Amino acid sequence: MNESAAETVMFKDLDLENLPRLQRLKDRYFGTPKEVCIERAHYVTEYLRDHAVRGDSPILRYAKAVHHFLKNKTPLFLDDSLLPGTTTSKYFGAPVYPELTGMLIWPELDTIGTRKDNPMQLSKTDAAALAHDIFPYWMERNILERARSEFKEPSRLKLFEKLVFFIASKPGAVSHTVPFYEKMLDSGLEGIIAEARARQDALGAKDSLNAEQKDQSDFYEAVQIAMDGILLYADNLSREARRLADTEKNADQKQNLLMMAEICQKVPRKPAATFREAVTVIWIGQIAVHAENINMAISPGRVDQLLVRYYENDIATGSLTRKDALDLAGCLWLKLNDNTNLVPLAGEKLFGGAGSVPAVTLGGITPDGKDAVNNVTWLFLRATELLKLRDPNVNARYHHQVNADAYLERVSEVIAETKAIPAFHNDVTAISTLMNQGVSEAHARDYAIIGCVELGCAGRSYDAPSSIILNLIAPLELALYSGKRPITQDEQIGPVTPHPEEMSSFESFWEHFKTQLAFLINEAVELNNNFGLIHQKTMPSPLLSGLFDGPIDNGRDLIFGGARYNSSGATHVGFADTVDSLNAIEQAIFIDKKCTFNELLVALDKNFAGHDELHAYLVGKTPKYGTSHHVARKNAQNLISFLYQTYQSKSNYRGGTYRPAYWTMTNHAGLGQLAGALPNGRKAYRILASGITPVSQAAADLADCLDSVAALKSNEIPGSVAFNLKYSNLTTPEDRKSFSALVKTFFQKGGMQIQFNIMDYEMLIDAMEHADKYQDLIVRVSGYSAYFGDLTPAMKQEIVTRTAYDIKNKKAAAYPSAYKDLLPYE
Amino acid sequence: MLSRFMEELVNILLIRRFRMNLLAQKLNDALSAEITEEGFKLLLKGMALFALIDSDFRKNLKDFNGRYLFKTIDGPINVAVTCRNGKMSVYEKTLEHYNVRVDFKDYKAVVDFLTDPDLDVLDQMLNQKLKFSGNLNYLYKFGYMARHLMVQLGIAA
Repeated sequence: MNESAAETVMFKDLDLENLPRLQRLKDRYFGTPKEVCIERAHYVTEYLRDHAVRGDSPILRYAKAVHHFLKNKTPLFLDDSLLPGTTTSKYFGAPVYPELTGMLIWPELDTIGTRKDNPMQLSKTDAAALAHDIFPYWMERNILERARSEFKEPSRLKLFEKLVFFIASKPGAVSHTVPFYEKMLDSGLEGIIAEARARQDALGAKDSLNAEQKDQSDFYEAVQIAMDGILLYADNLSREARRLADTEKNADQKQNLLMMAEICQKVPRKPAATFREAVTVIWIGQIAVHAENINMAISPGRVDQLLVRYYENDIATGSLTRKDALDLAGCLWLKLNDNTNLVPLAGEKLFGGAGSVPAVTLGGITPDGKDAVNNVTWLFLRATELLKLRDPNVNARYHHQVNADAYLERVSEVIAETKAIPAFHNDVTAISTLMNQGVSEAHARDYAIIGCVELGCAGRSYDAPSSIILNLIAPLELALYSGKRPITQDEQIGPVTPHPEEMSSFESFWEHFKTQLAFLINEAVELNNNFGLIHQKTMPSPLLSGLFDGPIDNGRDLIFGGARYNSSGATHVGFADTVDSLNAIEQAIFIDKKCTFNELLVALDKNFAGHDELHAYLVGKTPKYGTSHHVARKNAQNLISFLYQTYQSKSNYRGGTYRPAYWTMTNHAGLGQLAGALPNGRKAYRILASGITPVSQAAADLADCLDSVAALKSNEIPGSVAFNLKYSNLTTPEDRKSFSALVKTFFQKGGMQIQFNIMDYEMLIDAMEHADKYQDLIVRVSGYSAYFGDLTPAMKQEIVTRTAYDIKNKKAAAYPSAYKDLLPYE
Repeated sequence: MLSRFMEELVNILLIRRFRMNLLAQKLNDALSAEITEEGFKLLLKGMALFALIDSDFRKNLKDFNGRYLFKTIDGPINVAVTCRNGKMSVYEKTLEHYNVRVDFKDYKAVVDFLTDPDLDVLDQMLNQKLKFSGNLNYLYKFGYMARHLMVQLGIAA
């Protein structure tokens, strides 16, 4: 293929000048403030409080509540997008889920619109409705309160509520999934309803059933009710589009509305037949799943694989042009941005800057092992490149033995253009890791990314991958202070392990560290399982279950283990700082005998004030993760192995195992601000390193850094990683070739995932100091992408100080001395 | 007739405004002074008074039964608040049965909880400035009521 033909295949001949609709929609998106939306909270609460049928099982009650909302949900066409409807009743809305986490904003109802970080508009009327009508109903009923009262305020719940040991984010984790949109596309909702009805009929009349069969019957009925709710919403969309078309003066928009009216009359009721119908099905599916489940990482999955047959057919018949396809692809990308998380103030510190992180996955291989890159892959890569949006979280799968270099180079080019997206995932390690978890080869090959970086078998595995966020600094400090942490002072948190001064070897300290870590894991897992049981009792997911492969065959809701594969995930904050602290203890106390434990603890207590020599030694002379030092590599792998073995020995409430992962969103900045000085020389209250990434400025040699991360055993990281790498720039074609080659080598050596920020220190410092100049600057945080301006000051500092490498000499670029005080050890 | 009605209405509004100003002044004094239990009690009593003079605020108490116990870990605050039958009452005593008990680290944590728009309940939990036992939703509701009062009185942003 010559260069011009390749450019056409990759849609590079089309840009926003040819696509004024996308430019218009993008401008409006960036110019629209966020608003809190109470529509769903209102209707779900109204049904449960005023209309619920006495005697209905929880699954029927919840299905009917969701149906009530979908039936009444306002059908909105707020712009000239090619896709109908909206996730919320606002142009850019943050929906309230009072049964899950919505109550967290109650104290802020008067001030959320003016708060310093991430303000969201909320009218006085809606605030009053929340305060006096909606929230009071949930005071004794939301999931946290139900868990507290049912399990008698267990100690593990109190530990969670301190927030600095682990976070049990079960309510959000339920949404971390990829629906099985193939089913919705192929069967239509009528097909799903018919299947559920046939299964229910086969069970027989309800009064003849035993308890288990009655549960199954209720499940099948609940699926039908939920699906019917989606159909009513689609009907309302169709009617509203037609009504608007009647008065629309603009001929193009009139035609667009009529087309949407026609499409919504057909899909998602019937199977999709055209590219536009298929894209509409995925979009309405996304809206519908949000009617039941909180907007945290509900991910469309492998959209290029889902849509390619419709695209190719329409192109072949001449009913679709490449330009129209790109217009539609761009509309989907923009629509996926129409909602964001409702985050309380403190949440901004821990999860700041996130959207709702719907992940889409492109490329890789097919279930039968062939190259999956197709024309729709190129289409969505071009949409990503042109629009430069935070969401969707675009992920490029890459199989170095199957995918062509042209694909690797094109993804690299898009990263260079957007400076941050997509992220790369290694097909070879991901597939092997999933198969090691018991997933069939065909299903493993069809994996898709959930939310930030997590691995899931699209529509087949229910993974709840962010169930636990565990702070690794906590067990480190518990081991140093015999089961206490400085931040919680004299409270005995963990088991009473000996004072470190009594430990005669590093191995002894490592054992006590593992004791504390195992204690926290056990508490977190038990609490997550408690939450799971409450979820089963109160709010099953019949709508999502109907859009999954497994629950209908098994006669069980997802939350009862109905999916083909089940697991829960635990991610970890502070990996690199913990490894480097273990390295420092081993080297300083037991190998070099530079100090005693007591001397180290005194220095930590003083935040190294008056201990300059020891501090300089710890920073400069102890082994660092991200280098080739054998102590660092040993401790990193030992920590990975211990976490893997411990989690895999635990079962979740759905009969699956726990999967460890290493991505941190912005938790590493927030939790870093609450942790004292560490043995690796990091000063008190400074940021921690992100994800699986080495500590900022600790790994000067790029090849060593890549090798040390790739050397971690991927089969022991089934939840995946976020590995952040920063390059100062990629200006020349040679730079980009070199960039692609490094990704390929990293994956050949076993690296799982890698994501980039292509920006130098100076630019980031300028963005930190002149936010108005960089309003749409996207950065990779640790997993998801965020607009730099939305991040907290601590998180901005973390991104600034991350090691930037020069692609030409493969060494760390010089960090600007004027900003050294931002570094974690200064 | 109309002018008389308007005159009465203005009088009511002025008295309400006067009482609110008085309350705001007292609360400002209490929150800025180095007093502890008295200031906190005044603040709670201010909320009870505000419920009497502000119909919007009264909606928070409608059909609401809540029992709160507030303490400070380092010292003197030990105050109970009950909400029942649309009224809010403040006592200097310990409640055995409460919906939520809050132990603030110190008096500053109390003041921050009530007045700092950049701190929320979770933030204070994150910074270990308060501990609680019981139903956290009651604390969220109380946080809203307190913040609402402060906003109405112009004490918080």
